[in-house]
Amino acid sequence: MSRVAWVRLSGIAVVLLTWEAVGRSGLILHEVFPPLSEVLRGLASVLADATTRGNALVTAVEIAAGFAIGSGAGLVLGLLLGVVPYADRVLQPILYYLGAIPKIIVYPILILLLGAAEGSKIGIASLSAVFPVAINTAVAARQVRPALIRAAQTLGAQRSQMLLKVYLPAMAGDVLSGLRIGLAVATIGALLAETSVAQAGLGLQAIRYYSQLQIPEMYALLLLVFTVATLINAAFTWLIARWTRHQHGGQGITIP
Amino acid sequence: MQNALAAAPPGRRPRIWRENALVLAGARALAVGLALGALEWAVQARLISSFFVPPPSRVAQALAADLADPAVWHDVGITFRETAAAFAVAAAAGLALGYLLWRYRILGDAFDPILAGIFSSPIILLYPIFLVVFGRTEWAVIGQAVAYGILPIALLTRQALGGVSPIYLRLARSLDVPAARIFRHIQLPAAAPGIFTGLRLGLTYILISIIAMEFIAQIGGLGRYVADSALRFQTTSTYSGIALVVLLAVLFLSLTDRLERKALR
Repeated sequence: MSRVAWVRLSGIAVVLLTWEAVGRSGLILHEVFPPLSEVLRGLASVLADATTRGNALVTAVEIAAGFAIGSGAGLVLGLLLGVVPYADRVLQPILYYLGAIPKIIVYPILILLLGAAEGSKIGIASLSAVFPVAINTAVAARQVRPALIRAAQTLGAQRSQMLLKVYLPAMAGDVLSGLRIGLAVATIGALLAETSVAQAGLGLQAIRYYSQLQIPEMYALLLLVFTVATLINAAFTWLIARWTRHQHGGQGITIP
Repeated sequence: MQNALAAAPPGRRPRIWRENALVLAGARALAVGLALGALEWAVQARLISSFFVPPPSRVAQALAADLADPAVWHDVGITFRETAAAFAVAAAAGLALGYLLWRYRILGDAFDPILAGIFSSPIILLYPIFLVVFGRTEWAVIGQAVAYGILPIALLTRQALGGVSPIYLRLARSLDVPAARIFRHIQLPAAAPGIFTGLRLGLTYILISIIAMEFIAQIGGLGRYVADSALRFQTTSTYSGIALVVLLAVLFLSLTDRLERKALR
């Protein structure tokens, strides 16, 4: 085993053992901080719970729909800004500030407009996703190296060829980074909204466990959600690395 | 051929006219004004129900009234205090953690992917735990925000320190510059832009978690103000509360930008 893996595993082991020990010792209120073993038992009961699957489906649909709408709009907006430099100069700071504002605050408006069911969560998710995608796409479009464009023009590339063979590959890495962040914030938005006002979804289920003081189940459900989110993020990261492996200096942009 | 292309000068579109900061700001104001004007018109023309979306002019009046109201300033103060406190703690801890992860490479290699994984999952959902531990107080809000804000600051600090070109460092070492001075005068300035990206990212996530927690758990400042107004169907004050949140977020972000410009000069 390599040294890094050894340090990593022992670090994880220390955290988990401390968790178990503190949970059992009763130093912190047992209701707040159940030991790991109880959380794992909670995981079994969460997975056995008939409502979990339905709630997971609702949340997945909300996130997927919100992400599709938001990233679609973000791509169009970002491309427009990338193609029209002056619009970009004018609107970019506005987008940047709007993107950094906590979207959950407009949730009451979305409930009024779209209802308390799935619609308002889709709204929050798409509002969250649109800004990182738009900003990264605009940056990506602006950063296509002029040398590449001129070379393709000199060689007589057509418009569609320019788009498919020059712009798309050169932009893919940054755009995918934007999409990755967009999906992450869409997930946050939808789940947070579910913990506030909702009729179904994993966020609602977590907050229900909390209010019924089924804390191990709440931790277990959250662990499940975190694991899935981390795996999706890792898949995106892998995809970005694959797309950009031939590029030099193409870095993902981490500004939300 | 390949080399000739690579050596081509970095392309800049020729400037036809000098860009004027004033013109740019004017164009920005015009864009915002047009958007608000269109909304005002749509509401006045009853394309949008004014029950859901009050006309911007009415929101502006409500905002002016809010700004004269000491109770609202009290809420603004709470949110401001929480944000400032959480940012200060998260920045100090995140910078220290990022430094450690960079300084002891094995720690960084071992735990950086784990921290990145945690950061990519919606850990903001842990807020009920902070409510139970700290009670329904400002401390719960600050604690949650710090836990979230540390991660991007630490991750980007490590990335920025590690990304400094080795050529600079080798040159300095071959000139016998002491290690402490290398860090202070080469490593840190070269890493500063990346570190500030991390700080800005941390601030964004701190704002998200503070406002979200205030709003959902109805504790303290502006988030609670918006939630209260919405519950009572006071649509206009809901909107003016949202406007206040926007203003506060913009204030914090522009302060960070100003700090960055000052530090990088």
